Amino acid sequence: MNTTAVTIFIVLFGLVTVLGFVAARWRRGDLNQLHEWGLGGRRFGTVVTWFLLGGDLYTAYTFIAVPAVLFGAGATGFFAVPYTILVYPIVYAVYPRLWSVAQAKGYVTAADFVRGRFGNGTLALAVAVTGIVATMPYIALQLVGMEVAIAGLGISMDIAVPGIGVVHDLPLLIAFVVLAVYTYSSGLRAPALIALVKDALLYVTVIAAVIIIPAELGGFGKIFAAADPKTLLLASATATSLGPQAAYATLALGSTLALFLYPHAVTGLLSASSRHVVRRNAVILPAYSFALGLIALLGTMAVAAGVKSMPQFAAGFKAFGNQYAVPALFVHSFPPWFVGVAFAAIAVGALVPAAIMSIACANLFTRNIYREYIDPDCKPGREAQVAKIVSLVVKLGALAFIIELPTSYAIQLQLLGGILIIQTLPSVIFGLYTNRLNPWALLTGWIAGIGSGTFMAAANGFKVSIYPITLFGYTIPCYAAVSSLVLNIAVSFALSWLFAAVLRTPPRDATVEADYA
Amino acid sequence: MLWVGSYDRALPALIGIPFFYWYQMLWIVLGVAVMLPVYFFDERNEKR
Repeated sequence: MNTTAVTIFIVLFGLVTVLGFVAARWRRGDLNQLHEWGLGGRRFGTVVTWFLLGGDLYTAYTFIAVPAVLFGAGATGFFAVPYTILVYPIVYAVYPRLWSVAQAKGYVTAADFVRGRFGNGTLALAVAVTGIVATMPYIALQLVGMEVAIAGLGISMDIAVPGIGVVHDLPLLIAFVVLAVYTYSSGLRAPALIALVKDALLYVTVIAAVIIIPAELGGFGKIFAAADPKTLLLASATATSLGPQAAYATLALGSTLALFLYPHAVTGLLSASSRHVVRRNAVILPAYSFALGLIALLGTMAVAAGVKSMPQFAAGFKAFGNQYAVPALFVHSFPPWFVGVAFAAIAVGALVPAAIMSIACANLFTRNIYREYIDPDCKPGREAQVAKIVSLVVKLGALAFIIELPTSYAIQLQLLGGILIIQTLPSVIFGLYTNRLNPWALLTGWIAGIGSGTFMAAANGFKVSIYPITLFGYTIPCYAAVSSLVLNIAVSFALSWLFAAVLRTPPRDATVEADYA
Repeated sequence: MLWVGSYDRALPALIGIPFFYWYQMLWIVLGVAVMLPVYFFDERNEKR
């Protein structure tokens, strides 16, 4: 444990905590209304939205896990780069429409929109439940990111408290109580304000890392020469299989399509103050992708630095596996005070998405389950109150998850989460362009997609998301989210066409075309 | 970007970084370069 690093870490963490509480007064609104608490009053301009979405989508776990894959498995892990390249043109084209209709109709969640567009509460419920289930393990993984950072500082997770005895995971508990309380009191304003600090820390860390570490290791040539030549590139297609290249491409495509269906991404986008802000952000958010690419390369640098065989990091690698690669590299390469800054960047980087995700889940539960099925006549104040309490429950659930169960469960569930959330694409994205899809057809497609996707993930023991599909003796390794989505879309369209031909029920659409402009 | 075979190689390297890595990083910048003119075009159209 290094005192300088720990002190800097705690000071930065404290600063962020203060900001979280101050945020309630920032751009003051009536926090007893759901759209004020859960969407920041839809008042965030270009710059705040940029920080908020950047902090939201590029999570602590990403910054730990992506380099961990490059560290352990080589080139495959770099799929995160094409994935984040492909996502923004889609956001640019599609999401201003979602923002406009949400503004016109007062929608807070994607499920709200589906409810209005297709006039079907069951389909909206399916979309809401999918969102909550897919997000829960994601919150848990933010805790893993924080745990790795705290462990990297050398702070013991089991601390003896006078009068109580040894408390397990105490630093993590403290961090999360703090997070829970300011999310409760400030809503989306808290992560928005904290994201400014997080990203400043993050960019400083990344820039320092790509300047200092390659210099220490003797340049990029030497770094890549030290990597395993077998995994430096992807293996090519053969006569009977498309090979890892197909896996890489479908992983990038599937992740792209899934990303902005996640409730925390929708929440971030809908909190923007205008559709122009959404567009502008699609153009400027790739700056984070560049940072992500550099961070991914830290995995390769960690191989070259040889941190895995260093005795001082043996315990960390034993506890966290390859996820310890980046923390170990930082401790190895940076002076202690900067280790404090870098680890604060990771830990605060976990707080921002965790807060937004719990708010997004709370919005979904309150709007699409509580108000729809439990208390349809609830007042706005009651609605906001329920959301605040749900945000607490969600975080406690994630905390219990991470303390009680092995980390590998959270990772496996997160992998399944991507496969689940992508099944809402036909309802949400196609729904932005047409109301002619039948809601029951969409629901059947959703069931087919969830069923086949879960089956493929289960067949792999929830360990890998790539499921090989064999067509005419030719094997295509494909990300299960993509193949199950294809089935989902096929079912949705075929049944919509059939229902339209047989039943001729007119669409029950609460929106008009002008709402989307 | 989905046609992985088109860039899955080591050469030419840039300051020691294999082609596979720097080419994809380059596309982040190119993606923005493509979206910028579209953005200005759209915004101008909507103001009228």
